[in-house]
Amino acid sequence: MPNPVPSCPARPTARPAIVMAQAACAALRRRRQLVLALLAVGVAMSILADCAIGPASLSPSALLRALFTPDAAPPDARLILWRIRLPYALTAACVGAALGLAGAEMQTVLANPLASPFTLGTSAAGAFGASLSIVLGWHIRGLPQTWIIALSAFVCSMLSVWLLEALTRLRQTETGRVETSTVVLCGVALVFSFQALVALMQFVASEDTLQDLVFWTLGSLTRATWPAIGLLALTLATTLPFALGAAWRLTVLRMGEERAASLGVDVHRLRRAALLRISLLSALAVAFVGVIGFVGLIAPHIARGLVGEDQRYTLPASLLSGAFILSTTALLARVIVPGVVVPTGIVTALVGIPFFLFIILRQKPGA
Amino acid sequence: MNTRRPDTEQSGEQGLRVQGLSVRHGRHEVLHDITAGPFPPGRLCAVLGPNGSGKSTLLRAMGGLVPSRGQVLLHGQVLDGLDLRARARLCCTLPQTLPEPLRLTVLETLLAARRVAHPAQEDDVPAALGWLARVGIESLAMRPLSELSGGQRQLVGLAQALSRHPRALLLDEPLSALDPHYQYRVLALLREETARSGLVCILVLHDLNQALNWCETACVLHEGRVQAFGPPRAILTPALLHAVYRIHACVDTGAQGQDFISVQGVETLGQVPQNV
Repeated sequence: MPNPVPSCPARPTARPAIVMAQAACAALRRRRQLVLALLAVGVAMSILADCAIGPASLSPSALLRALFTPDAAPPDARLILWRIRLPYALTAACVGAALGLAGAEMQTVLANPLASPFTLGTSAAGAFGASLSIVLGWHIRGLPQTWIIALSAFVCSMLSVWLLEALTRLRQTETGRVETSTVVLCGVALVFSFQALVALMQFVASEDTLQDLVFWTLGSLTRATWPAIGLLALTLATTLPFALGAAWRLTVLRMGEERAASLGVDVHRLRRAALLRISLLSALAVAFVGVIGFVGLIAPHIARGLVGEDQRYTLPASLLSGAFILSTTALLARVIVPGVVVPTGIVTALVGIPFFLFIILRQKPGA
Repeated sequence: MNTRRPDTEQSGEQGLRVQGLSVRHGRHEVLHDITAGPFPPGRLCAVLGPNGSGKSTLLRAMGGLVPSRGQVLLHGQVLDGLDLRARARLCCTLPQTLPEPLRLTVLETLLAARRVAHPAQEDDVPAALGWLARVGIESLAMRPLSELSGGQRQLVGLAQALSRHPRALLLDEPLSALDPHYQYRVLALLREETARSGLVCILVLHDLNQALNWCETACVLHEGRVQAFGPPRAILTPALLHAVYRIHACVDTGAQGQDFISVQGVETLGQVPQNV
């Protein structure tokens, strides 16, 4: 058979090129590890600042003494730190971490830069679940009330992500692509539906429970408790290894659903597992502190900007960014009006909206 | 019709064969009872047909990416029923869509494609660089996908597929975004690689001249059915070109000995000047 051009020569890659590329890879890896380390330090610093700053000022030395040798510290410092400030600061960090991780996974599996538990109705569903269990006064013998609230929030959150996935599947093209607008519009429908249901719960609630419900819709860290922190930390510790275990598959999924499937990734299974983790994380966050918006939306964008799209780094970076953002906004919420703790949900929304607009405006038209 | 009927005894047959393959999208049947093959190993094979004839769907069904009825056999082994991962290891489908423009370097893109199926190995980076060099984009190794052109991303996708060492490679319009230099470079690379490793390589092509000069077997689809199967020179008859592509054309041989489609006219438009 005639051959119009000479055959492609089999060129072995030159040795120096391999060495250079390996060095570049190592440099990239070190840079990313450094970014993760810096983020972790940032989170630790913001937690400490959260503990130190407040109406009753604690000097750094008193703070450290109360933190590391509580028995030797003065009782009032110990009380302020361990009963009030540390639970508040740790709840902020844990909830931020949970939302950051959930947001990163959600943006990947739904292939949508606007996906987050808050924007697509998962948080609203969780709030509805929580308010349902409060208003109806559900009890299970031997189980604390907080756990029942969390469980109810989880069931509703899972229902909402499942519904979202089912709705968007209906509009999927042959190549597995779902239009960004479809996901967002379905999410908006879910947000409004669950908000209406929460409003209905408020309408039928008694005076006492109404007070409780307002807390969920505003999002506040002031009810932080140690068992809640423990449960949140446990959930993070169990979901993160699974998320990291799926990191390569998630990275490939970022290249496109059809491509991931052609490389042997069972996209439906990956998505179902991720959505389960997302609903667990966002439901617990909602169950303990109410609806906190924008953290889950912003953190993944910051993470991708800092460490790129290799999900082995993006996921932990998003988790740490989320923790850092909520930790610092929690601090802001306490110092912005002296003597008053503004509900954190309000502050994150005020800070988050400009960023939200930035993401929308940066989207390419038609993308 | 050159479609060969399947033999009852499949064992020992080399190449890829599809038997009674049907695919539905909702109520619409896109592929009707396709039986074709064997697509032989070691030689390039083309899937041809007009827009909407079911070429991409056939490739996806061969790769197990869409639900289908019927059987796909590779070297006598039935692929249906294998889990997606095992099937993708044997038979790699390169979709027509390009890799998304991410903030992921070209090298990472190749490594990720390998790591989803294989554990990390010492020579992963040199191997990935080797494939980038063969496709001709080694200089882009550390550049993010978001900074590349469509054609460059298509080459990344191709390197990704090749780096997985499949037994069968199914490429859906792998040349669509490439300039002539890279089109022929990729064809030459694929022919060499296919011959070297006994790969079954099936390409969806729109350019009939490329099919004539580079492929030894072609399968022509029309409205979801196999219209012809065999050597392109033999099956691309004026009657078939008219029935399938609605052009008045025949295969001609140029001064250098290469075959080309000479078009005399297009149905509904009447006569057109030669060499349009």
